[in-house]
Amino acid sequence: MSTARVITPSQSPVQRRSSTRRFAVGLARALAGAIIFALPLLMTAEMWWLGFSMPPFRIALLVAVLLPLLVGMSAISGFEPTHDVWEDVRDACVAFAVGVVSSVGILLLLAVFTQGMSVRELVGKATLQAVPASIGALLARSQLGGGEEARRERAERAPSYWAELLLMTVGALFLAFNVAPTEEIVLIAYRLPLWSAVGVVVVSVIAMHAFVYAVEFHGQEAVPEGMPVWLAFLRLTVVGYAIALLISAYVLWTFGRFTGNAPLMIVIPTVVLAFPAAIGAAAARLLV
Amino acid sequence: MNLVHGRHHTSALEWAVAILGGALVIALLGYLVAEAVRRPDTPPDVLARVERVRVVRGGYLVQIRVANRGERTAQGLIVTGELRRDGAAPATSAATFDYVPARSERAGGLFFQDDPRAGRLELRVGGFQEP
Repeated sequence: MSTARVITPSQSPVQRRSSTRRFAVGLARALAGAIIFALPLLMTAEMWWLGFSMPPFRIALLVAVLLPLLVGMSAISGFEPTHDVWEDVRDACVAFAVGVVSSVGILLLLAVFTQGMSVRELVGKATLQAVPASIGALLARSQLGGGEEARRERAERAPSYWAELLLMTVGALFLAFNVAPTEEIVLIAYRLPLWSAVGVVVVSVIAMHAFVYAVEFHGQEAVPEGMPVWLAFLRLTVVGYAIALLISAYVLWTFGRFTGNAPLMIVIPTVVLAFPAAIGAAAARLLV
Repeated sequence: MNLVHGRHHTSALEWAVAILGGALVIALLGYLVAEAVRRPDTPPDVLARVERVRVVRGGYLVQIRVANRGERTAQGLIVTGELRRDGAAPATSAATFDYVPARSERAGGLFFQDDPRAGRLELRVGGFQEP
């Protein structure tokens, strides 16, 4: 956690105690965030099954995709402005560790983990659950705590365009991840008439634009001064929706939802999942 | 192609991303509309075939593949395999496929105690539900 400053010899015992305390508070906060964000999926049966039915390579790839996103998130929304990339790497690793530990703890508590399961199954289940949990752990520090001072400080640093895209990616990943394991996504997709699919795309884009610009939320972006509306629409809404599509396709592929499917039956589930993912992407920009 | 709008500056890389994103969304809409206009709405049209037979601990596993050529998804599709051998009662084994989406394939398996290659194995596609 970024609260844990490296203890230098010049620090007095009092300072050291308070630094340890701050680390403990940060860890508790991260744990709270991990549990809030992961609990719905920890209690979803499909997630337990995916833990052993998914190819291990795809689970490993998921972690490889997640960690850089966590590093980026730490740099943007950290508890306090971090000073260098290694602090962000450390924070991301702590968030991931908290995600794994909290997932394992709750899966043990709920007796989802039982005797007779293979190591591969246990690792698969815990790693999969650690994705939403570690996003929660990292976000907890920006939302649950941080204090007014850190919040104000962050508000003054307007995130760059690329930072906004990264936040949208994480938001899309989180929401897509939450609904993709359920059977309803493919069920909706397989019964969806094609014209309805077109409608879903249009509504997703409009909803996203409304979330990002039109509705006045706390943390709302106004269209930058002097920028034409079409450019604002293209820059964040259309690009954001494209990100939601790519993330949705990636998550569905990861969960093995495309195996054996015709191209159209890859596109339609992606469109269906991109609806919540687009809302997640838009909302992420407002939250952090 | 840098443009300056008041205080705002859009870099070349931002333009590249915006154009890629726009192209993806337009391509998606174009594809969906083209499919919607072109495709006839045909019911599921499913055939099952044997992929291969494997020896397993409990006997034999017949790996099967079902392919749907229709434009609608079959849900809860039942495939039954009947193994007939001379002088023995026919053995049957069945599998249910949760979904066989339009124009897509799904794989599954049927277990038999006797070698299906020694007899006549017939695959029958049973009923389904519209999702």
